[in-house]
Formats: sequence, structure tokens, C-alpha cells
Amino acid sequence: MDSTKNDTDTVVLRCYDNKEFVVPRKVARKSVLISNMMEDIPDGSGAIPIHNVRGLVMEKVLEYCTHYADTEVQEDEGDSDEEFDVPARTIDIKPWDAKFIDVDVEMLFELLQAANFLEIKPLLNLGCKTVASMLKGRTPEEIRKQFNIPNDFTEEEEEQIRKENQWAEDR
Amino acid sequence: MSLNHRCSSPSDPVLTLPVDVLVSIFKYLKFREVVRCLRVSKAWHTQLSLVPTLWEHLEFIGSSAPRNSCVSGALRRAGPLLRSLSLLDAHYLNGGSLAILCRIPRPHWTSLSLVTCRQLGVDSLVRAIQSHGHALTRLQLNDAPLDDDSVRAILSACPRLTYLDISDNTGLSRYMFQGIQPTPTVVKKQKSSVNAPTRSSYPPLEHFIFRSNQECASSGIWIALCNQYSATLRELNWSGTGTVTGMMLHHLTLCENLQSLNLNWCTLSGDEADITHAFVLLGERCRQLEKVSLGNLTNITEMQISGLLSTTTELSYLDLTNAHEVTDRFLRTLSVRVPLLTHLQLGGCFQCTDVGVSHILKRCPGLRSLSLSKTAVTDIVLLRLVRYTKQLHTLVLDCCSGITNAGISSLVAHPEFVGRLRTLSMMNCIKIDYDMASRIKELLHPKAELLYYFNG
Repeated sequence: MDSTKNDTDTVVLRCYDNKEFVVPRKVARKSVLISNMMEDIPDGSGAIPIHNVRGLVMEKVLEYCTHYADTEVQEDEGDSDEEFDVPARTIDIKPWDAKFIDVDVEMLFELLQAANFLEIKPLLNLGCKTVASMLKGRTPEEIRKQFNIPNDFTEEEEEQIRKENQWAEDR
Repeated sequence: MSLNHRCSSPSDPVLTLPVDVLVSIFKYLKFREVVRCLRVSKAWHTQLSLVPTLWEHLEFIGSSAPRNSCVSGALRRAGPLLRSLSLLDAHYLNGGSLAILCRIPRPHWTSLSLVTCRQLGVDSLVRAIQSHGHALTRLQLNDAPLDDDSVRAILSACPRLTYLDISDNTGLSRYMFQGIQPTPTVVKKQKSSVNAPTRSSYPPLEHFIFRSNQECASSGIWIALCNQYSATLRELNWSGTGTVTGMMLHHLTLCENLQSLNLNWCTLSGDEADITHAFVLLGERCRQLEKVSLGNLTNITEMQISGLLSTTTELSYLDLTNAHEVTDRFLRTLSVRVPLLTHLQLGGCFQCTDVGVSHILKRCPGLRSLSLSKTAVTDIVLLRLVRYTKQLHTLVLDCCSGITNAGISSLVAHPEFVGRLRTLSMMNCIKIDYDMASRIKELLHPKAELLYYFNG
């Protein structure tokens, strides 16, 4: 990539609530989407619009990208790293990541949507692992409470589904 | 992406996620946990039931064998979406579960793997495979109630089968390969396509795994296999299945597409010159060999190994564990022939020293896994490893009395080398003490494994 020579330069990102961020290029490049946009849009042609993400979430996303700015494109540990021979089912979150992702449910899901939209794979994976850990080993009631989901089953329906899937509970 | 905006209650953050993100979340859950999530709400029940990837692969890989009710429930749940079923311990499975299998409408199975399924009735097993075999490409039936007739029935019911693992079985003979109609290509040439007999033709078998079948080992099975599947066979795993003769090896030369050969824990028997000749021929004919395991192969000589590998340049995996005849001179010759080598096991090759191993290290820059247990290497080999390998992730140095504290402490100066390691084994290295082992552990990746203890 010959665009690396501009790594000290910055780029302006404008969120849908018009909040603007001046970001070093190497930070912005953590997002595949923005990286592609930077190549398409000539230098100095103004802010790059990021329509789907609001300022508050963008700030958080950029915190992540800045932290990992100097880390080479992360080998997605645990998932693609077959050398470890660890099944993808183990949820394993690094300490900094765990602290970073310790946010309320609303923010967590907005981060997930943003990471997916902006194509920041490591952040997306972190979000997925976090949600998965909130589902793992929980009862349906605990899951509902966690994500504030109303139970719209009638008692009979619930009983029937429980019976249908009783096998999953016994060992 | 079109599923991005599905109608779901706006307050439900999970279901507003795109399907591929949902899939990456649920892949961290066990099948039973996914099932439990169906009870969260009506929307969860319908939406999750509709995501095929969540129900395609049913794996029971836990430490304890799943109950029959559990398996049949899971099968009912997954229904026609199921693509692969894998039971690492099918001990409690009975005909009832298989009957459910048979009832699944329009099945499209591609993989079935049952380990320890001896108590299954052979009839129900065969029936299940017959009713689901048309798309099956991968079949593993270990420690199963198989006999020749059932294997024959299975082979003719699975026209697309490429992978067959019938390890840990007894009661099989060469007759399991008999009685199947000729290959479809031949049939078509002769009779045009009048009766389209694909159902009873040979499947295009590429991988044949026949491990630990000592009780029913016979050269007949090997030879029948080589004769019938010579055009397609790419992998033969005969590990622990007994005697291998020169004649068997000669037949194997028919399989020119062979890429992987595993003869670990077998015994070579017969005229030595004949076997050597067969190995040379095998090396000449099977130019695509990538993976060769000759570990603990009794009676193998250096000349035979050398003959097999005289022309193979594609080789990436070589297991020579306890090939006592292997010397430095051989390693030097080998090193120029196998530039693509990534895995090398020399455990127990006690004649090998720093000199021979260094030749390999210099010429095989892609080396990722190396076992030097019980070899005569010293600390010098560690310096060479640091210098020449750039991708090494597994290093086994068990029982190397030539490796000392000094050598290990020189690794401390190369954190990039140590940081790449995923497994470092130093069992019974009498000249490495506990303190040194813990020092090196600090430099290892947190997920890396350090095996160290001393049986003093």
C-alpha cells in the first residue's frame, strides 16, 4: 500500500448526527469500509460521511481503533487461528477488550451494528463473543431480563415448547 | 443483507442484528444452548428456527456420552436442515434415534460421524444410511457393528462418498468391497444411460481410514481397495492395523493420486529387498505425496524411507518417529528434496545430531512443527532454530539430555521466536531445571502450552 506514506495525516469522519471526528489515517484504516472510501475519495475533499453511526458510538469505536492502531491486522484469535486447536466455542476475551466492552446493552448492540457496518472484524468478533457470553448457560428468563425482551408466550405455549425441548436440559 | 430489517419488536436488540452476525454469536453456543434460546420469545422461536446454519451441524463432543433422548430430540429439532451429525461417543445411541433419522423428510446429509456405536443394531444403522446416503460425502463409523455386507450396502447407497473411516472395527474382510457394480463411467460407455445405475456404483472414495483394525487386518482388504479405488484414492491410513508386505505396497503404486499415507505402528514383513523396491516404485509413481507417516513402523530401513522420498518434492508432513536407522546423512539428503516441509517428527531417531537437523532447518524455511525427542541434539540446535525458522509453533524436545539451561536461557534473548511457539515440550530434559522452565513460560504466548516435568 503506497497510501501508508500519509499515515501521519488525518481524515475527517462525519457521523449522521453531524458530529465530526478528526482521526489519524492509520486509525481510520482499521475500518475496511472507511479504508476503501479513503482510496476512492481524493485527499482534501472534505469529510467522509458515516451515515449509519451516531457520534457517541463512533467515539467508542474510535477508542477501539486507536488502541489497536499500531497492532498489525489482528489474526482473529481463537476463530481462524487453527494452530491453537481451540474450538471456536471457548469465549476468551482479552483484559483490555473486556474493560472496553463493559457497556450497557444499548451501546453494546450499537457497537455491534457499527462494527458490522464499518467492517471492523476484530471489534465485531469482540461484540459477538460478549453477547454470546450473555446467552451462554442462561435460562430463557435470564436472557429476557438481560435484553429487556417481553415474554409473549402464553403459559400453555411455554409449557409445550419446554416439553418439546426437554431433551436439551437433561444429560 | 436483505434480512437486515426484519419485523421484530423494536425493543429486542438481538433480533435486529443481521443474520450473519447472529450466526457468529450463536456459534459460540452449544446446540442445546441454542435450543434453550428458542424459549425466549415467539420472535426468537421463529427467527432462530429459520437460520439454517444454526441447525446444520449437530455435534456432541462433550466428555460424556449424550443420552438417546437428547440425540433424538436434537434430530427432531434440526429436522431437514441437518447436514452433519457427529457423535464422539455414541454409546447410548439406539435404534430409536436412527429411526428418527430415517423419518426426516428430504434429507440432505453430507457428513455422519459415529464413534463407539457398537451397540447400535447393524440393520438400523444400514437402513439409516441407505435412506440418507445419496448426498453423504463423509462417513465415520468407529467401533461399530459393521460386517462385510453392511459395508457393501453402505458403499452402494452412498454414490458421493469420498471419505470413509471404519477404524476400530472387527469382522471385516476384503469381501466388503465385492459385489458393487462397476463405476458409472464404465457403465455409461457400455449401456448408455438406460438404467442410470448410479445407486449401485463405486463411490469416488478418496480417503480410506482403517486404523487399529488389527483383528481383521488382511492384505486382501488393502489390495481390493487399491484395485477398486486406484483412480480416486488420495489418503490411506492403515495406522496400527498390522502387517504391511511388499506386495501390498506394490498394489498401492496403482494409486497415483495418493497424497497421504499413514503406516504408523505397522510392521513391515517379507523380503527386505522387495519392500525397498516397492517403496522406490511408490515414490516414483505417487508424485503428489504430501503427508507420510512412518512412525513406529517396525523393520523400516533408511534405504526404504530414502527410496520412498527420492522424488517427492511436494512433501509437507513427515513422521519418522522411532525410525532408528535415520542418520544425519539421510537428513542432509532429505533436506534438498523436501523444500515445502512444515511438519517433521524425528522423536527417537537417536542417531540424529545438530548437524543433520541443521541441514533441514536451513533448507525448509516453512517448518512449523518439529519433534526432536530422544535425539542427540544439543543447545546448538536451539540457536539454529532461532536463526532459520520463521514459523515454528510446535517444538518437542522431550528427553533431550543435550539441551541444557544455557541453551534455554539463550532463547530468552529471542522473544519473537518464543512468542511464536504454541507448544513447547521439555519433558524429562534432565539438564533443564524448574526455574528455567518458568522463565521461558513467561515469554510464551498466554494460550501456549508448556510441557515440563522431570521424572527423576
